[in-house]
Amino acid sequence: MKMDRAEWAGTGAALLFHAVLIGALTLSLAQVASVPEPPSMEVEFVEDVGLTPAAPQSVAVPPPPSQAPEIGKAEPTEPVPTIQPVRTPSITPAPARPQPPAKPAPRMSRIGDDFLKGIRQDAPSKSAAPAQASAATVSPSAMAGIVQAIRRQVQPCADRQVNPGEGASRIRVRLRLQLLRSGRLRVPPQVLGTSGVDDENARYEERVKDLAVATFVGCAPLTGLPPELYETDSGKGWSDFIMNYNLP
Amino acid sequence: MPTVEASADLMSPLNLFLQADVVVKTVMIGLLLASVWTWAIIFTHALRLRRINRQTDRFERDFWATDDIDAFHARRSEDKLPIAVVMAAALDEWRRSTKTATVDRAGTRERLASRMNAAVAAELDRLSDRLNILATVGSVAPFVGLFGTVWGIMRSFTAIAGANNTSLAVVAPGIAEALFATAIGLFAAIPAVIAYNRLTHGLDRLEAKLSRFADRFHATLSRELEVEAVTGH
Repeated sequence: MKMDRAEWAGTGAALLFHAVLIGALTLSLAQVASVPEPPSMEVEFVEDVGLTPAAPQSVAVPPPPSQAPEIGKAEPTEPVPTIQPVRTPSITPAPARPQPPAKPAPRMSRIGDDFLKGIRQDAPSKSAAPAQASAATVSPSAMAGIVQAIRRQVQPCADRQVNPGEGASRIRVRLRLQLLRSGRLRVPPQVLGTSGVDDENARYEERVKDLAVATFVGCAPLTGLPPELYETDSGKGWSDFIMNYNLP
Repeated sequence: MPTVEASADLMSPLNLFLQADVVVKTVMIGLLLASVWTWAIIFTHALRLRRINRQTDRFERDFWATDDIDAFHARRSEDKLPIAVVMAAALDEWRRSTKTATVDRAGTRERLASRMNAAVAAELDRLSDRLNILATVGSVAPFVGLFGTVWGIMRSFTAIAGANNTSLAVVAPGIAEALFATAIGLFAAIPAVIAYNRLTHGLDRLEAKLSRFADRFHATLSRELEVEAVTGH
């Protein structure tokens, strides 16, 4: 096959084109393709209702500086106590409420200075508060572990329960468990409330409540729960917490 | 982050090629050569067609502007342009047919037409040389690439089965290097198909241009025959 000059030139151009392309792909485009991986995310399955872990504590920290804007913000945190109506209402609103009217008035004109002062003065108490909070709370992962351990242990009892009727499995029962250090129930589980009740399954509500209580009573004592988390500094641990129950 | 750099390096074309099976490697090399060949043909033909079109327009303009066709032909006798070849064929036939004492006008017209048509066809045949390669690459390269991919995936599945691990980190590189064969196949085929259509269209237009010139020149020579017949008798 005879090639003329134009064909040689065309072949040379094609070779050059391919060399450049492969070089570009190897050197730069391959690097562009390497999107850095996002940091691995730790996913934890935590019971939606249970011990009050770090969240309410950390939200409760802003009120101590006692500054008007932050007090204003603190109000949305009020719904948080509804998760744990037993303990929190007496703690958070008490320091928060009396302070706001006292300080904003004289500090309105010099926000900058007061703001800095406030931080300096409150710094020690601020740093102390989270330290206590972290010592007093159960981390979400530990909480999830406790919940899983309890679930595992009560599963056989839950499996034995007979479903009273159609729709009953949609009923969720909130139970308050008060445990002794040995894992026995201090008092029978208290039913705090139910959800998922509709016209169809309303007649089973009481039955499901009983079944829920029976499940936990039947499989007590609960073993293998971490003793160091039985009670923390604030008194919260698996000694007293809330779980959800529904029929399998 | 060394792991990320390593994975990026792993996915570079060169590494994908080097890690591939020998069959896939052969397919890749073949496809790469086909791609180089395709682009060589594309560059050569595209430039040539453009140049010929430009020069043909200029030639035609000069030709119809000239008064003395013989002198024009003498001037452009070395020209290798298709249109010049058509003109030369027509003039050659004209001279041959009219050098005898009695001129067969109908026969001369017929011979002129067929000589010019033959010249046009021969020139187009010459110009369309190797375009069939583009058509072949365009239709076959994806299949060849697919063959490489199928082979590579078969091999990597075998390897995965041997490793007893189906995590993405184990599966992905083998699949990626196998798919690279299809990528090269498409890389070769897509420009080939586009260029084939484009160049064929360009050649069709050139053919139409040459045919128009041949018809017009044939008409001119035919008129000349009649004039000579009138003046000769």
